[in-house]
Formats: sequence, C-alpha cells, structure tokens
Amino acid sequence: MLKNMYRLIILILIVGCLASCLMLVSCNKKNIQQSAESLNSKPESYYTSYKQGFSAARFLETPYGTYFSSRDGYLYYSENGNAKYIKLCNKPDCNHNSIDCNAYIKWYKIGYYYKKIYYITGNALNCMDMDGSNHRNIKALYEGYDNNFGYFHNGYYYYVITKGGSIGAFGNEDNNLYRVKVDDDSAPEIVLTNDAILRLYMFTIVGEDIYIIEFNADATKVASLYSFSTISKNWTILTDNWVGAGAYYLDDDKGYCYMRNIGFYEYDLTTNEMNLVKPTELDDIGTCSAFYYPDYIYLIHYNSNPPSYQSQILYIYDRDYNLIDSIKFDKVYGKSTTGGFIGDVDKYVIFSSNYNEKPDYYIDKSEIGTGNLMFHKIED
Amino acid sequence: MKSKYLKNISLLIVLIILLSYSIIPVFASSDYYESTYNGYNYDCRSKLYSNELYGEMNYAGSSKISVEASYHFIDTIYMIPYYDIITSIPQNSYAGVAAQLMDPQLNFIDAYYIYNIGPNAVYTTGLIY
Repeated sequence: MLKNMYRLIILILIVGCLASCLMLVSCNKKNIQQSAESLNSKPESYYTSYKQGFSAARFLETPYGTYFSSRDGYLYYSENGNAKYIKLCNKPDCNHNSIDCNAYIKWYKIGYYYKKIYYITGNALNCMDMDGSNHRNIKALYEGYDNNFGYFHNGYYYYVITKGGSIGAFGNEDNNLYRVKVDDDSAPEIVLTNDAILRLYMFTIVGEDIYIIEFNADATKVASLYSFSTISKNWTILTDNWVGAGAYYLDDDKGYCYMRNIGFYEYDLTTNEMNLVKPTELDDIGTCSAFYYPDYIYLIHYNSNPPSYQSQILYIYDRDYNLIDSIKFDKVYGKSTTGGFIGDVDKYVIFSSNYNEKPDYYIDKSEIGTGNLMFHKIED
Repeated sequence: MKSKYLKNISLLIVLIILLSYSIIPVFASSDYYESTYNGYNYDCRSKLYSNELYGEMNYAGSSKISVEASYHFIDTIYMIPYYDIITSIPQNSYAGVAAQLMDPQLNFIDAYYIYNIGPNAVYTTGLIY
C-alpha cells in the first residue's frame, strides 16, 4: 500500500515537472506571438525591407519584436527594442552557452520574412521560427569558402561574393550582384554585373531600381553614385560626389545625403540636380554620420580630432531639417571600443555602449523636443 | 680629455636621435603559439595591422587544418562598423586567411582567430589593433 503511494507521488511529481517544462516552452512562444499581436500595426513590407542601421543585417525590427545578432555568435530578442535582450532559446535544458543553444548562429547576417528569421552562415542560407526553434538549412548560395556581403530585402537575400574577405578589400574578383529568394528552392540569380561591384561601398534597393555606391578612386572625393534599372537594364552614373554608407538615404524621388562639415543635400532623381538644402553649423572638426527615418534624421557628430566613439553628440532634425533636440552620448569606454547609434524602432531610438555586445541604452521618442531628452538604461 | 668626452657625448646624442627614428612603434598586434596535437607539432601565427590581417597555421600531422578569422573594421569617415568572418579552405600541412582593406579610411579594430585541426579548435586568440 505504502509502496503504491510512493509510486503515485513520484508519478505526480514527474507529470508536474513535464507540465512545467512544456509551459515554459509555450510561454516563450506565447510571449512572442502576443508581441506580434500588439505591434503588428504596419504592413509586412515595412519589416521585410532593408532599413538603415549601424551595420547591415544585424539589427531587426519585426512584428514579433526586435532581434539582434551579436558578435558573440548568439541571437538576442527584445520585445520592443528597449526591454532586456535575451538569448533566443526556449530549450528547457539549455545553459545558453554552447553551440547547441537555439540562439547560437555564429555568423552575423539576419533578416525577417513572413514569420521566419533567416540567417547566413558562410555560403548557406538558413532559417528558424520566430521563437528560435526549428533551425533548418535552405540552400547553398555558391560553392566554396569565399565570404559574402549583403542583406535581406523583401523576401530576397542580395549579396556580392567577396573573395578578399569583405567589401572594400583587395582580392575581390566577382563583379556580380546576386539575389536569392529565401522561401523556396530556386537558384540564386545575377541582378547586375559591373566592375563597380569590385569597389562596392554599399548598395540600396528602391522599388525596381538598385543604387550602387562605389569607393571613389579620386582621393578628394568619397564615393560615386550609380543607378541600375532592373526593368530597362540601364546603368547610369548620377554623381561622382556622393557619400558613403552611414550618411545617405534614397527613396522613389530623391537621394538625401550629409556632407561632413557642409550640410544636408538633396538629389532630385528626375532632374539630376543636387542642392545643399540645410547648411549645418557644427564645429569644423571630427566627422558625422546621418541616419534618415520617417520621423527624424539622426545626425551624429563625433566631435573630437581624430574622431572617436568616446565623444559623440546626437542631433535630431525633423524631415524639414529643423533641429529639434540634441544630446551627448558618452557611454562608450575604451580606445578600441566602438559604440553608439543602433536604430530607430517604433517609439524608441536604440544605442549601444559597445557594438560587440547587445544594445544597452535607448531614447524614448516622446521625450524629443520636451527639454527632458535623456538616455535610459536597458535594465535586466 | 674634455673634448674627447664632448665628442663621445655628441656621438651618443646622434645615436639616440637615429635610434629614436628606428624605434617608431609599429602599429600592429601579433600572436604566435606552438604546441603538439596527436604527437605532431603545429604553430599558429596571427597578425593585425590597421589595414591588413593574417592568420596562418602549419601542422605536421595528416589531418586537415583550417583557420577562421572573425573581424571588425570601421569606416573612419562615417564611423560605421563592419563585421565579417573569413574561413580558409581545409587542407593538409598549411592553412591561412588574409584580408587587406583597400581604402585608408577603413581601419581594423579587432579580430578573433580560431585554429582547427580536423573538427577541433586547438587554439583561439584575439587581437586588438
């Protein structure tokens, strides 16, 4: 009788343990699904299109929350971008500290498309569910061990093959821009072929047009801007006096850029005229990056000489170039540490004191222009 | 006697000036490691300059070896960081990776190297420029 009681108690305990484990897993899924329901007020195209950020394909805003691919090889999740970033793993027995963890992807490039996170490891395209489970390999992009640079945009991964290791490196031999559909088994296709790809600085996709920014061979100029129509196949040089990644934006009608220590320019894509629309009055030292978002332009002035991440001021302009607010970001410590602006996510502007680690500061956009603008710490 | 001292001191000063030019610090970071694996010697050399990086490995055994370098460089005009990983082709006796940035505005910040014999990482190191 007593033996049967013990058996019953042990059975109840085992069932209880299993039930709580299952609840943990389902809670994680439920949380991510709930955040999709609460945030999903924008069309899918908003999330699937490439947006400006501190580094291509490492920081993602999705209807399910915000994802960050860290230098440590792990993928982190935050509900709104300003909440604690946690490793994206719901395995109940995982210590989240090994390559078996669901959050471990090793390489950095991530993208979102219709309820899946896509990521690149070497020459392979992979995907996982939004809660980090169900990793699977989809296809190989090419043969061999060469590296690639690119990002995800509207259901495709666009990339160049970089035999030299990176864009901007010697030894790149492949002058094609490729793309591959992420959610089927179709083969990659060549989008365009041009030697400007060998000196690629960045590329931008707007509708049916692709804009190529090339390192300028003339040392007095930074970059050249070209357009390529995927419909007519026309290749056109727009200007040889453009800027690099981190200081421009292109839409259907215009190009926008910031020339350091001069001001904001606009390039009319129909008339090919480029005009200074807002001279800036920053100190004539250091350098700047400029990020264009629907509500604001974030101009970051690295105001030391030589420029340093330890000394940066964020200037916030509206889209009519009126200066609304400014604030110093002095959270980056160490000469070899890089950090600063990460991205604009819904109600928040996200910053990091160390780009190698997960984001740790944010600005609440409702505080812009109130006189109370401050950096808030993303607390654990 | 006094003039001899003066002459020697002058020579010494000239030597110090000349030496000061020859000991201008080299802006590079490097690492060397050697050990044995399965009874055979291997060595790993890592170097990081402002615009170049190298990772090289030699192994006397018969297993295939490979090198991975995960690195971080910045565009100093716009302070934009870039991250990449390069991997060598697995092969016998020697494997290496190298990357050289073409524009002076691009500068390496750091690199992490993994040296593999077969599937096993036998040595890892990180360099900061």
